[in-house]
Amino acid sequence: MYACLIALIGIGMLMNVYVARADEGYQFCDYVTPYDSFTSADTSASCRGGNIDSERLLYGVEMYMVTYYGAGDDGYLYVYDENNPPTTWDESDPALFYKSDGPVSVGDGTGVPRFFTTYFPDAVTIPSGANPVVAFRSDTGTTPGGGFYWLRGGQNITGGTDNYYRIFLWEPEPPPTPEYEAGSLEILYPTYATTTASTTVPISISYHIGTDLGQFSIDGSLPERIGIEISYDDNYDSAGYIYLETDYDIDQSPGTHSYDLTYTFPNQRTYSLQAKLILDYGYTPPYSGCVPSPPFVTCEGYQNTAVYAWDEALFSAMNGIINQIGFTPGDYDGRNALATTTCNIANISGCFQNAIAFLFFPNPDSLKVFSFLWENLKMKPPFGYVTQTLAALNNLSISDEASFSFGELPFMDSIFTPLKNGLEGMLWLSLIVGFLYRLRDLDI
Amino acid sequence: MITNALLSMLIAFLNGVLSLLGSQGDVPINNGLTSAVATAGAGFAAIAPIFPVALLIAANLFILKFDGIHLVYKLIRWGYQKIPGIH
Repeated sequence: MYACLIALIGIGMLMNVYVARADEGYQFCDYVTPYDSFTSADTSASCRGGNIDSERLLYGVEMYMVTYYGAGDDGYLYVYDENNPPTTWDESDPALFYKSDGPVSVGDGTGVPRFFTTYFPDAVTIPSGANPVVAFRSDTGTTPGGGFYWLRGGQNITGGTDNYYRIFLWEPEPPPTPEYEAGSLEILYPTYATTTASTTVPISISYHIGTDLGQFSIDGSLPERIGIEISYDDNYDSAGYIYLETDYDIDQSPGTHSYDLTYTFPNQRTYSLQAKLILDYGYTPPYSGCVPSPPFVTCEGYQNTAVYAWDEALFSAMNGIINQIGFTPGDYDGRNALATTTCNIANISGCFQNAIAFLFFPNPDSLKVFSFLWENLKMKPPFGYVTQTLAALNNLSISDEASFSFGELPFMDSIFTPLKNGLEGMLWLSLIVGFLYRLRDLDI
Repeated sequence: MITNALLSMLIAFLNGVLSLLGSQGDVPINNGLTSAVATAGAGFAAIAPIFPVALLIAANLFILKFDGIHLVYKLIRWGYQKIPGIH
Protein backbone atom coordinates (compact mmCIF):
# COMPACT_ATOMS: atom_id res chain seq x y z
CA MET A 1 0.00 0.00 0.00
CA TYR A 2 1.34 3.27 -0.94
CA ALA A 3 0.84 6.50 0.37
CA CYS A 4 -0.11 9.73 -0.51
CA LEU A 5 0.73 12.69 -2.33
CA ILE A 6 1.36 15.97 -0.95
CA ALA A 7 1.28 19.13 -2.60
CA LEU A 8 2.09 22.40 -1.41
CA ILE A 9 -0.26 25.16 -1.70
CA GLY A 10 0.65 28.63 -2.04
CA ILE A 11 -2.01 30.73 -0.62
CA GLY A 12 -2.15 34.20 -1.76
CA MET A 13 0.55 36.67 -1.51
CA LEU A 14 0.59 36.45 2.18
CA MET A 15 0.76 32.77 2.45
CA ASN A 16 3.44 30.42 1.31
CA VAL A 17 3.00 26.72 1.74
CA TYR A 18 5.42 24.11 0.65
CA VAL A 19 5.16 20.48 0.18
CA ALA A 20 7.71 18.84 2.23
CA ARG A 21 8.12 15.80 4.26
CA ALA A 22 7.14 12.26 4.59
CA ASP A 23 4.97 11.56 7.51
CA GLU A 24 3.91 8.31 9.07
CA GLY A 25 4.88 6.26 6.12
CA TYR A 26 3.26 8.52 3.62
CA GLN A 27 5.37 9.82 0.85
CA PHE A 28 4.66 13.19 -0.50
CA CYS A 29 5.52 15.13 -3.53
CA ASP A 30 8.71 16.97 -3.25
CA TYR A 31 7.49 19.88 -5.11
CA VAL A 32 4.57 21.02 -7.15
CA THR A 33 5.12 23.31 -10.02
CA PRO A 34 3.37 26.58 -9.41
CA TYR A 35 0.74 27.80 -11.71
CA ASP A 36 2.72 30.60 -13.13
CA SER A 37 5.48 28.55 -14.55
CA PHE A 38 4.43 24.99 -14.71
CA THR A 39 4.68 23.12 -17.96
CA SER A 40 3.88 19.74 -16.68
CA ALA A 41 2.80 18.24 -13.48
CA ASP A 42 5.09 16.63 -11.08
CA THR A 43 4.77 12.97 -11.78
CA SER A 44 7.83 11.90 -9.96
CA ALA A 45 7.87 8.56 -8.28
CA SER A 46 7.69 10.18 -4.91
CA CYS A 47 4.35 11.74 -5.63
CA ARG A 48 1.71 9.16 -5.16
CA GLY A 49 -1.99 9.16 -4.92
CA GLY A 50 -3.71 8.49 -1.71
CA ASN A 51 -4.66 5.04 -0.83
CA ILE A 52 -6.64 3.12 1.67
CA ASP A 53 -5.33 3.16 5.14
CA SER A 54 -7.61 1.92 7.82
CA GLU A 55 -5.70 3.72 10.49
CA ARG A 56 -5.97 7.03 8.86
CA LEU A 57 -8.31 8.14 6.21
CA LEU A 58 -10.04 5.28 4.62
CA TYR A 59 -9.91 7.09 1.38
CA GLY A 60 -8.76 10.30 -0.09
CA VAL A 61 -5.58 12.19 -0.55
CA GLU A 62 -3.74 14.18 2.00
CA MET A 63 -1.70 17.21 1.40
CA TYR A 64 0.66 18.21 4.03
CA MET A 65 1.37 21.87 4.24
CA VAL A 66 4.54 22.37 6.12
CA THR A 67 4.64 26.04 6.49
CA TYR A 68 1.91 28.48 6.74
CA TYR A 69 2.43 32.14 6.90
CA GLY A 70 -0.49 33.96 8.20
CA ALA A 71 -1.04 37.56 8.99
CA GLY A 72 -4.00 37.35 11.23
CA ASP A 73 -6.46 36.25 8.60
CA ASP A 74 -7.68 32.81 7.76
CA GLY A 75 -6.87 31.17 4.49
CA TYR A 76 -8.82 28.78 2.39
CA LEU A 77 -8.11 26.00 0.02
CA TYR A 78 -9.89 24.43 -2.89
CA VAL A 79 -9.15 21.26 -4.72
CA TYR A 80 -10.85 20.44 -7.93
CA ASP A 81 -10.61 18.11 -10.82
CA GLU A 82 -9.06 19.52 -13.91
CA ASN A 83 -11.64 17.83 -16.08
CA ASN A 84 -14.51 19.11 -13.99
CA PRO A 85 -13.71 22.65 -12.98
CA PRO A 86 -16.22 24.12 -10.60
CA THR A 87 -18.52 26.86 -11.71
CA THR A 88 -19.20 28.11 -8.22
CA TRP A 89 -17.08 28.29 -5.17
CA ASP A 90 -18.59 27.60 -1.86
CA GLU A 91 -16.57 28.34 1.20
CA SER A 92 -19.32 27.66 3.67
CA ASP A 93 -19.57 23.97 3.02
CA PRO A 94 -16.08 22.71 2.59
CA ALA A 95 -15.22 19.47 0.96
CA LEU A 96 -11.87 19.61 2.62
CA PHE A 97 -10.88 19.47 6.17
CA TYR A 98 -7.70 19.74 7.98
CA LYS A 99 -6.08 19.42 11.27
CA SER A 100 -2.99 20.99 12.55
CA ASP A 101 -0.91 17.87 12.68
CA GLY A 102 -0.97 14.18 13.11
CA PRO A 103 -3.45 11.70 11.77
CA VAL A 104 -6.56 13.05 10.24
CA SER A 105 -9.85 11.84 11.49
CA VAL A 106 -13.31 12.52 10.32
CA GLY A 107 -14.76 15.57 11.87
CA ASP A 108 -11.50 16.82 13.10
CA GLY A 109 -10.58 20.45 12.60
CA THR A 110 -12.85 23.23 11.75
CA GLY A 111 -13.65 21.99 8.31
CA VAL A 112 -16.78 19.90 8.05
CA PRO A 113 -16.10 16.70 6.16
CA ARG A 114 -18.13 16.72 3.07
CA PHE A 115 -17.73 14.27 0.31
CA PHE A 116 -17.38 15.18 -3.27
CA THR A 117 -18.24 13.36 -6.39
CA THR A 118 -16.76 14.71 -9.55
CA TYR A 119 -15.03 17.83 -8.41
CA PHE A 120 -14.21 19.60 -5.26
CA PRO A 121 -15.36 23.16 -5.44
CA ASP A 122 -15.67 23.60 -1.74
CA ALA A 123 -13.05 25.10 0.41
CA VAL A 124 -11.68 24.49 3.82
CA THR A 125 -10.94 27.40 6.03
CA ILE A 126 -7.48 27.37 7.41
CA PRO A 127 -7.00 29.37 10.53
CA SER A 128 -4.27 31.87 10.66
CA GLY A 129 -1.02 30.36 11.80
CA ALA A 130 -2.11 26.79 11.31
CA ASN A 131 0.19 24.17 9.99
CA PRO A 132 -2.46 21.93 8.58
CA VAL A 133 -2.82 18.59 7.04
CA VAL A 134 -5.55 18.83 4.47
CA ALA A 135 -7.42 15.89 3.15
CA PHE A 136 -10.11 15.37 0.66
CA ARG A 137 -12.04 12.30 -0.20
CA SER A 138 -14.90 11.01 -2.23
CA ASP A 139 -18.41 10.20 -1.22
CA THR A 140 -18.15 6.75 -2.68
CA GLY A 141 -15.54 5.69 -0.23
CA THR A 142 -13.00 5.28 -2.94
CA THR A 143 -9.82 7.06 -3.63
CA PRO A 144 -10.06 9.74 -6.27
CA GLY A 145 -8.81 8.52 -9.58
CA GLY A 146 -5.50 9.46 -10.97
CA GLY A 147 -5.09 12.56 -13.03
CA PHE A 148 -4.49 16.25 -12.77
CA TYR A 149 -6.02 18.29 -10.02
CA TRP A 150 -5.84 21.90 -9.16
CA LEU A 151 -5.24 23.41 -5.81
CA ARG A 152 -6.51 26.87 -5.33
CA GLY A 153 -5.56 28.71 -2.25
CA GLY A 154 -6.00 32.15 -0.94
CA GLN A 155 -6.51 34.30 2.06
CA ASN A 156 -9.80 35.39 3.46
CA ILE A 157 -9.23 39.02 2.91
CA THR A 158 -10.83 41.31 0.50
CA GLY A 159 -8.76 41.73 -2.59
CA GLY A 160 -6.58 38.74 -1.85
CA THR A 161 -5.15 36.95 -4.83
CA ASP A 162 -5.44 33.23 -5.25
CA ASN A 163 -2.63 30.97 -6.30
CA TYR A 164 -3.12 27.85 -8.28
CA TYR A 165 -1.08 24.74 -8.30
CA ARG A 166 -1.46 21.84 -10.55
CA ILE A 167 -0.78 18.49 -9.06
CA PHE A 168 -0.89 15.03 -10.39
CA LEU A 169 -2.39 12.21 -8.43
CA TRP A 170 -1.15 8.85 -9.33
CA GLU A 171 -3.75 6.28 -9.78
CA PRO A 172 -3.58 4.38 -6.56
CA GLU A 173 -1.96 1.09 -7.09
CA PRO A 174 -4.37 -1.77 -6.66
CA PRO A 175 -3.98 -3.75 -3.52
CA PRO A 176 -1.82 -6.78 -3.94
CA THR A 177 -3.63 -9.77 -5.26
CA PRO A 178 -4.69 -11.79 -2.27
CA GLU A 179 -3.04 -15.09 -2.00
CA TYR A 180 -5.36 -17.63 -3.49
CA GLU A 181 -7.24 -19.32 -0.75
CA ALA A 182 -8.81 -22.41 -2.13
CA GLY A 183 -12.31 -23.23 -1.23
CA SER A 184 -12.90 -26.90 -0.79
CA LEU A 185 -15.61 -29.44 -0.31
CA GLU A 186 -15.42 -32.91 1.15
CA ILE A 187 -18.02 -35.60 1.62
CA LEU A 188 -17.54 -36.82 5.16
CA TYR A 189 -20.23 -39.48 4.96
CA PRO A 190 -20.89 -41.80 3.26
CA THR A 191 -17.27 -42.55 2.60
CA TYR A 192 -15.83 -44.79 -0.03
CA ALA A 193 -16.99 -48.42 0.23
CA THR A 194 -19.38 -47.57 3.02
CA THR A 195 -22.34 -49.88 3.27
CA THR A 196 -25.49 -48.70 4.89
CA ALA A 197 -28.18 -50.86 6.37
CA SER A 198 -30.88 -48.85 4.68
CA THR A 199 -31.56 -46.96 1.52
CA THR A 200 -32.07 -43.90 3.72
CA VAL A 201 -28.57 -42.56 3.89
CA PRO A 202 -27.31 -39.69 6.01
CA ILE A 203 -25.03 -37.41 4.04
CA SER A 204 -22.51 -35.15 5.70
CA ILE A 205 -20.49 -32.60 3.77
CA SER A 206 -17.80 -30.24 4.92
CA TYR A 207 -17.05 -27.20 2.82
CA HIS A 208 -14.75 -24.26 3.11
CA ILE A 209 -15.23 -20.79 1.67
CA GLY A 210 -12.26 -18.49 1.27
CA THR A 211 -12.06 -15.15 2.96
CA ASP A 212 -11.93 -13.14 -0.21
CA LEU A 213 -14.91 -13.34 -2.51
CA GLY A 214 -12.86 -11.50 -5.09
CA GLN A 215 -11.23 -14.75 -6.01
CA PHE A 216 -14.58 -15.88 -7.38
CA SER A 217 -14.78 -12.95 -9.76
CA ILE A 218 -15.47 -13.72 -13.38
CA ASP A 219 -15.19 -10.79 -15.75
CA GLY A 220 -15.65 -8.53 -12.77
CA SER A 221 -18.81 -10.25 -11.59
CA LEU A 222 -18.98 -11.69 -8.14
CA PRO A 223 -21.26 -14.57 -7.27
CA GLU A 224 -24.53 -13.56 -5.73
CA ARG A 225 -24.78 -16.70 -3.69
CA ILE A 226 -23.03 -19.93 -2.99
CA GLY A 227 -24.73 -23.28 -2.83
CA ILE A 228 -24.16 -26.97 -2.69
CA GLU A 229 -25.40 -29.21 -5.47
CA ILE A 230 -25.85 -32.90 -4.85
CA SER A 231 -26.33 -35.59 -7.46
CA TYR A 232 -25.91 -39.32 -7.62
CA ASP A 233 -25.28 -42.09 -10.10
CA ASP A 234 -26.83 -45.47 -9.50
CA ASN A 235 -24.09 -47.15 -11.59
CA TYR A 236 -26.81 -49.16 -13.22
CA ASP A 237 -27.17 -47.71 -16.65
CA SER A 238 -25.52 -45.11 -18.79
CA ALA A 239 -27.81 -42.34 -17.63
CA GLY A 240 -25.04 -40.72 -15.63
CA TYR A 241 -25.53 -38.54 -12.62
CA ILE A 242 -29.02 -37.75 -11.51
CA TYR A 243 -29.58 -34.30 -10.09
CA LEU A 244 -30.83 -34.38 -6.52
CA GLU A 245 -30.88 -30.85 -5.19
CA THR A 246 -29.12 -27.52 -4.98
CA ASP A 247 -29.28 -25.72 -1.68
CA TYR A 248 -28.33 -22.08 -1.54
CA ASP A 249 -29.56 -21.72 2.00
CA ILE A 250 -26.21 -22.57 3.46
CA ASP A 251 -23.76 -20.67 5.57
CA GLN A 252 -21.92 -18.58 3.01
CA SER A 253 -19.56 -16.77 5.32
CA PRO A 254 -15.85 -17.40 5.00
CA GLY A 255 -14.71 -20.38 6.97
CA THR A 256 -15.37 -24.08 7.27
CA HIS A 257 -18.93 -25.26 7.63
CA SER A 258 -20.82 -28.50 7.59
CA TYR A 259 -23.86 -29.42 5.58
CA ASP A 260 -25.94 -32.44 6.48
CA LEU A 261 -28.99 -34.02 4.94
CA THR A 262 -30.70 -37.38 4.67
CA TYR A 263 -31.86 -38.84 1.42
CA THR A 264 -33.74 -42.03 0.64
CA PHE A 265 -32.37 -43.60 -2.48
CA PRO A 266 -34.86 -45.36 -4.74
CA ASN A 267 -33.25 -48.80 -4.90
CA GLN A 268 -30.90 -51.08 -3.08
CA ARG A 269 -27.87 -50.39 -5.14
CA THR A 270 -24.34 -49.10 -5.19
CA TYR A 271 -24.36 -45.35 -5.66
CA SER A 272 -21.80 -42.73 -6.51
CA LEU A 273 -22.56 -39.56 -4.64
CA GLN A 274 -21.30 -36.26 -5.94
CA ALA A 275 -21.36 -32.91 -4.17
CA LYS A 276 -20.34 -29.62 -5.72
CA LEU A 277 -19.73 -26.14 -4.42
CA ILE A 278 -21.76 -23.97 -6.76
CA LEU A 279 -21.33 -20.26 -7.38
CA ASP A 280 -24.41 -18.54 -8.74
CA TYR A 281 -23.77 -15.32 -10.59
CA GLY A 282 -27.43 -14.54 -10.90
CA TYR A 283 -27.64 -13.80 -14.55
CA THR A 284 -26.70 -15.32 -17.84
CA PRO A 285 -24.04 -15.29 -18.92
CA PRO A 286 -21.62 -13.79 -16.45
CA TYR A 287 -18.74 -14.70 -18.63
CA SER A 288 -18.21 -15.37 -22.26
CA GLY A 289 -17.87 -18.95 -23.26
CA CYS A 290 -17.16 -21.74 -20.90
CA VAL A 291 -13.47 -21.81 -20.27
CA PRO A 292 -12.76 -23.29 -16.89
CA SER A 293 -9.74 -21.77 -15.34
CA PRO A 294 -8.51 -21.57 -11.78
CA PRO A 295 -9.96 -21.26 -9.28
CA PHE A 296 -12.91 -22.81 -11.12
CA VAL A 297 -12.82 -26.46 -11.84
CA THR A 298 -15.43 -26.48 -14.52
CA CYS A 299 -18.43 -24.61 -15.77
CA GLU A 300 -19.87 -27.54 -17.62
CA GLY A 301 -23.60 -27.55 -17.87
CA TYR A 302 -24.18 -24.26 -16.16
CA GLN A 303 -25.09 -21.01 -17.73
CA ASN A 304 -24.96 -18.79 -14.75
CA THR A 305 -23.16 -20.88 -12.24
CA ALA A 306 -19.70 -22.27 -11.88
CA VAL A 307 -18.42 -25.21 -9.99
CA TYR A 308 -15.73 -24.37 -7.51
CA ALA A 309 -14.99 -27.70 -5.89
CA TRP A 310 -16.47 -31.13 -5.71
CA ASP A 311 -16.09 -34.51 -4.15
CA GLU A 312 -17.38 -37.99 -4.81
CA ALA A 313 -18.10 -41.02 -2.68
CA LEU A 314 -19.07 -44.58 -3.53
CA PHE A 315 -21.31 -46.51 -1.20
CA SER A 316 -23.94 -49.21 -1.12
CA ALA A 317 -27.41 -48.69 0.18
CA MET A 318 -29.39 -51.80 1.04
CA ASN A 319 -31.91 -53.06 3.48
CA GLY A 320 -31.01 -54.51 6.82
CA ILE A 321 -31.60 -58.16 5.96
CA ILE A 322 -29.15 -58.19 3.11
CA ASN A 323 -26.68 -56.29 5.18
CA GLN A 324 -26.90 -58.84 7.96
CA ILE A 325 -26.44 -61.90 5.83
CA GLY A 326 -23.68 -60.34 3.82
CA PHE A 327 -24.86 -60.75 0.28
CA THR A 328 -27.10 -62.87 -1.82
CA PRO A 329 -25.84 -64.74 -4.85
CA GLY A 330 -26.42 -62.75 -7.96
CA ASP A 331 -26.93 -59.57 -6.04
CA TYR A 332 -24.41 -57.26 -7.52
CA ASP A 333 -24.79 -54.61 -4.86
CA GLY A 334 -24.62 -57.10 -2.03
CA ARG A 335 -21.19 -58.23 -3.07
CA ASN A 336 -19.93 -54.79 -2.37
CA ALA A 337 -20.64 -55.55 1.26
CA LEU A 338 -17.57 -57.73 1.23
CA ALA A 339 -15.44 -54.66 1.28
CA THR A 340 -14.70 -53.26 4.66
CA THR A 341 -12.97 -50.15 5.70
CA THR A 342 -11.05 -51.72 8.54
CA CYS A 343 -7.92 -53.78 8.06
CA ASN A 344 -5.70 -54.05 11.07
CA ILE A 345 -4.25 -56.54 13.48
CA ALA A 346 -7.51 -56.71 15.34
CA ASN A 347 -9.50 -57.43 12.20
CA ILE A 348 -7.51 -59.72 9.95
CA SER A 349 -10.66 -60.94 8.31
CA GLY A 350 -11.25 -57.42 7.10
CA CYS A 351 -7.94 -57.57 5.25
CA PHE A 352 -9.02 -60.73 3.48
CA GLN A 353 -12.36 -59.22 2.66
CA ASN A 354 -10.65 -56.20 1.22
CA ALA A 355 -8.33 -58.40 -0.78
CA ILE A 356 -11.21 -60.45 -2.14
CA ALA A 357 -13.16 -57.36 -3.01
CA PHE A 358 -10.09 -55.86 -4.64
CA LEU A 359 -9.36 -58.96 -6.71
CA PHE A 360 -12.80 -60.07 -7.74
CA PHE A 361 -15.21 -57.22 -7.26
CA PRO A 362 -15.74 -55.74 -10.70
CA ASN A 363 -15.59 -52.09 -11.29
CA PRO A 364 -19.13 -50.79 -11.79
CA ASP A 365 -17.88 -48.93 -14.83
CA SER A 366 -16.85 -52.23 -16.40
CA LEU A 367 -20.33 -53.58 -15.98
CA LYS A 368 -21.85 -50.44 -17.35
CA VAL A 369 -19.90 -50.99 -20.55
CA PHE A 370 -22.12 -53.96 -21.33
CA SER A 371 -25.18 -51.78 -21.22
CA PHE A 372 -23.45 -49.45 -23.60
CA LEU A 373 -22.48 -52.29 -25.91
CA TRP A 374 -25.98 -53.67 -25.94
CA GLU A 375 -27.48 -50.29 -26.69
CA ASN A 376 -25.27 -50.11 -29.77
CA LEU A 377 -25.68 -53.70 -30.85
CA LYS A 378 -29.32 -54.40 -30.35
CA MET A 379 -30.47 -52.73 -33.55
CA LYS A 380 -27.67 -54.02 -35.74
CA PRO A 381 -28.24 -57.15 -37.83
CA PRO A 382 -28.67 -59.91 -36.91
CA PHE A 383 -29.45 -58.83 -33.37
CA GLY A 384 -31.78 -56.16 -34.61
CA TYR A 385 -34.18 -58.71 -36.10
CA VAL A 386 -34.41 -60.54 -32.79
CA THR A 387 -34.87 -57.31 -30.90
CA GLN A 388 -37.64 -56.14 -33.18
CA THR A 389 -39.35 -59.48 -33.16
CA LEU A 390 -39.47 -59.56 -29.42
CA ALA A 391 -40.62 -55.96 -29.29
CA ALA A 392 -43.35 -56.66 -31.81
CA LEU A 393 -44.59 -59.73 -29.99
CA ASN A 394 -44.57 -57.84 -26.73
CA ASN A 395 -46.88 -55.39 -28.39
CA LEU A 396 -49.19 -58.17 -29.52
CA SER A 397 -52.42 -57.47 -27.76
CA ILE A 398 -56.08 -57.15 -28.42
CA SER A 399 -56.55 -53.86 -30.15
CA ASP A 400 -59.35 -51.49 -29.35
CA GLU A 401 -60.86 -51.71 -32.79
CA ALA A 402 -61.78 -55.08 -34.29
CA SER A 403 -61.02 -55.71 -37.94
CA PHE A 404 -64.37 -57.46 -38.48
CA SER A 405 -67.50 -58.40 -36.59
CA PHE A 406 -69.53 -61.57 -36.27
CA GLY A 407 -72.72 -59.66 -35.93
CA GLU A 408 -75.17 -59.82 -33.09
CA LEU A 409 -77.69 -62.64 -32.48
CA PRO A 410 -80.06 -62.96 -29.51
CA PHE A 411 -78.65 -66.26 -28.31
CA MET A 412 -75.03 -65.48 -29.08
CA ASP A 413 -73.83 -64.65 -25.55
CA SER A 414 -75.71 -67.61 -24.11
CA ILE A 415 -73.76 -69.99 -26.30
CA PHE A 416 -70.30 -68.51 -26.65
CA THR A 417 -69.71 -67.16 -23.15
CA PRO A 418 -69.91 -70.58 -21.44
CA LEU A 419 -67.85 -72.05 -24.22
CA LYS A 420 -65.23 -69.35 -23.84
CA ASN A 421 -65.00 -69.79 -20.08
CA GLY A 422 -64.70 -73.54 -20.39
CA LEU A 423 -62.10 -73.27 -23.09
CA GLU A 424 -60.13 -70.82 -20.99
CA GLY A 425 -60.09 -73.22 -18.08
CA MET A 426 -58.92 -76.06 -20.27
CA LEU A 427 -56.21 -73.90 -21.74
CA TRP A 428 -54.94 -72.93 -18.31
CA LEU A 429 -54.81 -76.52 -17.27
CA SER A 430 -53.01 -77.64 -20.42
CA LEU A 431 -50.51 -74.81 -20.17
CA ILE A 432 -49.65 -75.63 -16.57
CA VAL A 433 -49.29 -79.31 -17.30
CA GLY A 434 -47.25 -78.63 -20.39
CA PHE A 435 -44.99 -76.26 -18.51
CA LEU A 436 -44.41 -78.82 -15.79
CA TYR A 437 -43.36 -81.37 -18.38
CA ARG A 438 -41.15 -78.71 -19.89
CA LEU A 439 -39.42 -78.05 -16.60
CA ARG A 440 -39.00 -81.75 -16.00
CA ASP A 441 -37.17 -82.20 -19.26
CA LEU A 442 -35.33 -78.91 -19.14
CA ASP A 443 -31.78 -79.10 -20.40
CA ILE A 444 -29.67 -77.64 -17.68
CA MET B 1 -8.92 -56.75 -10.31
CA ILE B 2 -9.03 -60.26 -11.73
CA THR B 3 -12.67 -59.90 -12.58
CA ASN B 4 -11.97 -56.58 -14.15
CA ALA B 5 -9.25 -58.13 -16.29
CA LEU B 6 -11.58 -60.84 -17.51
CA LEU B 7 -14.29 -58.33 -18.18
CA SER B 8 -11.85 -56.14 -20.02
CA MET B 9 -10.92 -59.00 -22.34
CA LEU B 10 -14.55 -59.73 -22.99
CA ILE B 11 -15.28 -56.09 -23.57
CA ALA B 12 -12.39 -55.86 -26.00
CA PHE B 13 -13.81 -58.78 -27.96
CA LEU B 14 -17.29 -57.29 -27.97
CA ASN B 15 -15.89 -53.96 -29.07
CA GLY B 16 -14.42 -55.75 -32.04
CA VAL B 17 -17.80 -57.25 -32.82
CA LEU B 18 -19.38 -53.86 -32.43
CA SER B 19 -16.87 -52.26 -34.74
CA LEU B 20 -17.74 -54.82 -37.42
CA LEU B 21 -21.48 -54.70 -36.99
CA GLY B 22 -21.44 -50.99 -36.43
CA SER B 23 -20.69 -50.50 -40.09
CA GLN B 24 -24.09 -51.98 -40.84
CA GLY B 25 -27.12 -49.81 -40.54
CA ASP B 26 -29.83 -50.39 -38.03
CA VAL B 27 -32.58 -52.79 -38.87
CA PRO B 28 -35.49 -50.76 -40.22
CA ILE B 29 -38.16 -50.27 -37.66
CA ASN B 30 -41.11 -50.21 -40.01
CA ASN B 31 -40.94 -53.82 -41.13
CA GLY B 32 -43.63 -56.29 -42.03
CA LEU B 33 -43.67 -57.87 -38.62
CA THR B 34 -44.80 -54.71 -36.90
CA SER B 35 -47.71 -54.19 -39.27
CA ALA B 36 -48.60 -57.89 -39.10
CA VAL B 37 -48.80 -57.74 -35.35
CA ALA B 38 -51.05 -54.72 -35.54
CA THR B 39 -53.31 -56.53 -38.00
CA ALA B 40 -53.38 -59.60 -35.83
CA GLY B 41 -54.35 -57.50 -32.83
CA ALA B 42 -57.38 -56.20 -34.70
CA GLY B 43 -58.31 -59.74 -35.67
CA PHE B 44 -57.96 -60.93 -32.13
CA ALA B 45 -60.30 -58.21 -31.05
CA ALA B 46 -62.94 -59.62 -33.34
CA ILE B 47 -62.80 -63.13 -31.94
CA ALA B 48 -62.09 -62.10 -28.35
CA PRO B 49 -65.80 -62.33 -27.37
CA ILE B 50 -65.93 -66.01 -28.26
CA PHE B 51 -62.38 -67.18 -27.69
CA PRO B 52 -59.87 -66.55 -24.84
CA VAL B 53 -57.33 -64.77 -27.04
CA ALA B 54 -55.82 -62.77 -24.17
CA LEU B 55 -54.86 -65.97 -22.42
CA LEU B 56 -53.18 -67.32 -25.51
CA ILE B 57 -51.23 -64.14 -26.04
CA ALA B 58 -50.06 -64.06 -22.43
CA ALA B 59 -49.13 -67.71 -22.47
CA ASN B 60 -47.13 -67.40 -25.68
CA LEU B 61 -45.29 -64.37 -24.45
CA PHE B 62 -44.41 -66.22 -21.30
CA ILE B 63 -43.10 -69.17 -23.28
CA LEU B 64 -41.09 -66.87 -25.50
CA LYS B 65 -39.46 -65.14 -22.55
CA PHE B 66 -38.84 -68.41 -20.83
CA ASP B 67 -37.19 -69.88 -23.88
CA GLY B 68 -35.20 -66.70 -24.41
CA ILE B 69 -33.80 -66.86 -20.91
CA HIS B 70 -33.11 -70.53 -21.36
CA LEU B 71 -31.22 -69.78 -24.54
CA VAL B 72 -29.11 -67.12 -22.82
CA TYR B 73 -28.38 -69.57 -20.04
CA LYS B 74 -27.19 -72.15 -22.49
CA LEU B 75 -25.03 -69.61 -24.27
CA ILE B 76 -23.38 -68.63 -21.02
CA ARG B 77 -22.90 -72.25 -20.11
CA TRP B 78 -21.38 -72.91 -23.50
CA GLY B 79 -18.86 -70.10 -23.03
CA TYR B 80 -18.23 -71.05 -19.45
CA GLN B 81 -17.36 -74.61 -20.39
CA LYS B 82 -14.69 -73.36 -22.77
CA ILE B 83 -12.54 -72.59 -19.75
CA PRO B 84 -10.14 -75.50 -19.27
CA GLY B 85 -11.04 -77.75 -16.39
CA ILE B 86 -14.71 -76.86 -16.34
CA HIS B 87 -17.20 -79.26 -17.86
